[in-house]
Amino acid sequence: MINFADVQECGVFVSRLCAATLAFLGLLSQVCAGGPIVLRDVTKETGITFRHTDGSSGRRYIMETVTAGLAVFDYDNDGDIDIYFLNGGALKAAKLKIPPRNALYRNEGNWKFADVTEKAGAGDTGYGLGVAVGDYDNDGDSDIYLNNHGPNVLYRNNGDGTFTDVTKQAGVENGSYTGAGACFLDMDKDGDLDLYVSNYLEFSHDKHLTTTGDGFPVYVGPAFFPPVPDALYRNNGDGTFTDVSKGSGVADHPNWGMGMVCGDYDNDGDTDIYVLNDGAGNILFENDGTGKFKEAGLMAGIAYDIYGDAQGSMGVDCGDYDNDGLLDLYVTSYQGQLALLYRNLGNGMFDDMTRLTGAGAGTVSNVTWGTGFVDFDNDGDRDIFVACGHLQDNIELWDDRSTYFQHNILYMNTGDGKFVNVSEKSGDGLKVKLSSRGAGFDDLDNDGDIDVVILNSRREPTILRNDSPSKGHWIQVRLRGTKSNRDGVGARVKVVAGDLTLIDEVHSGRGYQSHYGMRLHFGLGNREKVDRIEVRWIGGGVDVFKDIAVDRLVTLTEDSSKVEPKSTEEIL
Amino acid sequence: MRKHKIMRDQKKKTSEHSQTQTLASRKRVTRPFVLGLILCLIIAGLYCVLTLTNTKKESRTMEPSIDSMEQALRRPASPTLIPEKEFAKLKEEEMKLARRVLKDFPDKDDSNVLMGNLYRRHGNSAEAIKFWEGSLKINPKRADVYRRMGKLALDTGELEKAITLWRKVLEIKPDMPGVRSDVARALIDLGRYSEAITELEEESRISSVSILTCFLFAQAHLQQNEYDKARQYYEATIGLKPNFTQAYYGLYTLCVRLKQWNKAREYEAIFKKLKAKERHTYLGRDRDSLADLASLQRGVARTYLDAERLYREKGDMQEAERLLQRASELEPTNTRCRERLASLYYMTSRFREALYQFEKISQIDPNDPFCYLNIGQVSIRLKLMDKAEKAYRKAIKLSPEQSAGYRELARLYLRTNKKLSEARKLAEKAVTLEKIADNYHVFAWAAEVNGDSASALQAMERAMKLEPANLKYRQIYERIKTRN
Repeated sequence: MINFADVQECGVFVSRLCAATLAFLGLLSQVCAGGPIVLRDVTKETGITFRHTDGSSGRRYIMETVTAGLAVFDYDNDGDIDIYFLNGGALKAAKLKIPPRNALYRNEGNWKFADVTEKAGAGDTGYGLGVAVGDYDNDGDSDIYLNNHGPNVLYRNNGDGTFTDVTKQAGVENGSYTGAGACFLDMDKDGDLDLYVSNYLEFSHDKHLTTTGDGFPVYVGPAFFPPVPDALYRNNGDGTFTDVSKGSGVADHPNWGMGMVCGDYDNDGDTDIYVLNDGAGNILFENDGTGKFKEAGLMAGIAYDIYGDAQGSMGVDCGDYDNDGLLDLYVTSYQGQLALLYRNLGNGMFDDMTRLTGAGAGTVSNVTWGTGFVDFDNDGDRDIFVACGHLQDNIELWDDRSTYFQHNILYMNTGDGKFVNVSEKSGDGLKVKLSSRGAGFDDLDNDGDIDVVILNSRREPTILRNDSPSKGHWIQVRLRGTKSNRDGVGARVKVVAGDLTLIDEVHSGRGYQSHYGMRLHFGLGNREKVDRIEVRWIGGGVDVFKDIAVDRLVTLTEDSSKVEPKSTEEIL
Repeated sequence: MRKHKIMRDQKKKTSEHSQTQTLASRKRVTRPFVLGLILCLIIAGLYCVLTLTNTKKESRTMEPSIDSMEQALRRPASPTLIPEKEFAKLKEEEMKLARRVLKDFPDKDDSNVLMGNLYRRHGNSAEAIKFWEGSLKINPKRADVYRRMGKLALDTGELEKAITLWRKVLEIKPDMPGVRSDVARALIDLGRYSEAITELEEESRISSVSILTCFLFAQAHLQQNEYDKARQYYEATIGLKPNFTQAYYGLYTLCVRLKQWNKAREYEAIFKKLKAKERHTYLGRDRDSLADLASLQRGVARTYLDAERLYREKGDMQEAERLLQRASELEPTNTRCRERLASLYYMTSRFREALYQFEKISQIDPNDPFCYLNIGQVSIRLKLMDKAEKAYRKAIKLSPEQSAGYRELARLYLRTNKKLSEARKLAEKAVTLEKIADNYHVFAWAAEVNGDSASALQAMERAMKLEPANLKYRQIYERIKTRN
């Protein structure tokens, strides 16, 4: 008997009435929105009262512009996705009655969320910038790492709905840098998660500068501060980490780090690291399989744009947009620059396909941040979501080509290697105009499509429910590592359904300094069954599962397919 | 190119003025003025002593030195105001001027362009477009306005719109340099590489190949995987500008794609070195509020210059001068502003003031040969012959391949009747470098005074051939002929 005991169906448990209501709303959405992807703004229904603050007082400290990311993950292992918002903190001269803190919202189902921050003990009051979630101690629950301005925080999940700050004993405080993105990855294939921490800059009040643009006060960019190296921590397997930044090659590249993502870009079975830099060449750390890295961004063609110019890079996601079995990249950036789509050529290099695919249309006037390759309409190809918002809160005064509040952008993948900006006809969710930063994507209502959570600077977040009318089939995959890390971070999953072959990897930390997507989601279009799922775990083991029913979440456990795989129908 | 023109214009005026001025001044020099002249000499002597003791101090006017003016530029113009108010005050002043220009020249396309440019600089694109469109209603042939509108569209990512606007430029001025390169850049950004190449080929046909054209050629070919052509153009780009960072990036990319690893490493090293240098420059860049204020002051100065042109055209020299003086206050290092002031002073026979401005230009840009030519011309008007000689020698030193310095120095010697044999050599050199009528004319003069009438006649024949309408040449020719 194959041990598929963990493979579980996650059907949509809604009453008939609810189903009928949803169907009606879906139809209505289609009629009103007129597009194949419809995202509805349901923020007010959720009960989420979080409001972001950047701790500003008019002094225009640089970190105010880049806060913050968010995490969407199942912190209590109850099968639904919860939300963790990062918050800024009180900066010098800021007058705040209550110190701002991060907020954890438990998904109660039916689009209701409860603030459990206090109870969970996860309300860090540090100045939040980036976050990654991973089970660093392999105890079966998700831990949180916060990359702050100032000391960072590692929250260990106690498994009972609470967290404990274990930063000091873990040794991952990371000095007092102004942080950026963070990622957990198993860089040395030893079965536990290591930690990469991207550092933006080293701020101090005496280094702070104020300046003006056409006479109006503006925030300065990072180049006014010396670049700093990022940090890489190796997991010792006993709850502690060792700083291996120098030995690994990471410390040799000081820069102004921003968002990042880890993935096996060269399909050699280990996890590489792609770190964005603000106003300097982006860095691709190619892993030699042992946790030693060589910088390969320039050679891969993803350090600069096609002219060799550095971008004000912000956020990044990787995903296979053209279903060729290779992880491509989407990189967001500053106003005046296109957000860039890099196609992986499979030979260690990428091609900037932004112009040819239309995947950057409409981004030039915007500052772009959070992003994700997401198949919103379950048609078997990945669309792209881009969170937008300027970082100069008075931009309108001196440049009417842009605005502080901006609409987010949705590109629909047309399936032939092109993207169409469908923001205008994708529902009221794309009509929201705020200054967005981090964005996370997951199936918040377990109905088989991907919803969106957006953190907006100085404002309430935006929660978008996917009400797309023409839903194709889908499958979601959750991995359970036994020899490799428990959540299968870094594992490559290949799904074959008829003529469609899709790949994805489990990432911990991605987009704009955010975390999402531990459950991999595959849209299948009209394919009614999955022929085969292949999982290549970090460490080299491969599991193959065959004949899997669609429209469900399956949990695939490492080594569970060592016996000749049988039909999953027997197990499900 | 622009400086050539200014110099030539002024040269013509100098020639015309110099003859009448010399005669007039001779008539005016009479005994009652001798005492005055002595007094002037005493003052001049004191002036020289002061100048020698402190070369940096400006001696004859109350204007501050360039150094102190630069310092002033780094300070808020009205230190009592907080920076925001300083900016607001300047903007208000600029807007007031632009409105006045619009009122005074309601039917001029230039006044609308001025207002449009002002709005554009202050980030108000919508208003900028409104005024630019207004100017096009008055004068639909304003290619420069379409070009500006195209650039604005490009900046906002409206590539198709930018191309459409630049095509209008080409309808008006098909041979305007650079426009097809602009179109090509937008086409590359749209991924339409072969169309971009066609545009660049056309650009190369109408104007000499620029660095940008070369680089864009290379980029378009690279994107089309035409590596040989791409390489050729990247190398040509580097030939034109050896430190063109992006061209090395292109060559590196090309070599990586062709797996030419050794070459790739070479280009990578250069690219990284240049990038590091750029980064260093960027890190050290001073972009504080004072720099921003200086930038605003430069912009406002530009508006004053544009306004001045309109008033000068109208013949209101007083207003033109006032506007130029304010522009000069706002941006003391703006040589264009000083050139226009100098030319205004020259036109109104205020040679000392003209000389002061040209000398200022020589301090701002000591390697500008044309400003020394101008100093020479004005010095002659002021009878400062030694100064003129020194200025022409400096012009020759800075630009030994240009004929003007040799010619004017020769002319000076001929006028002052000294170093006549050197004058002939100089004039001969001028003719060797540039076969223009005036060079032949000066050479003929030099040959004649050195007793070589045959060469003089021959040279005058060449001058007449080059400028058949110039009656003065014919008269000189006849005089030489008659004398011999």
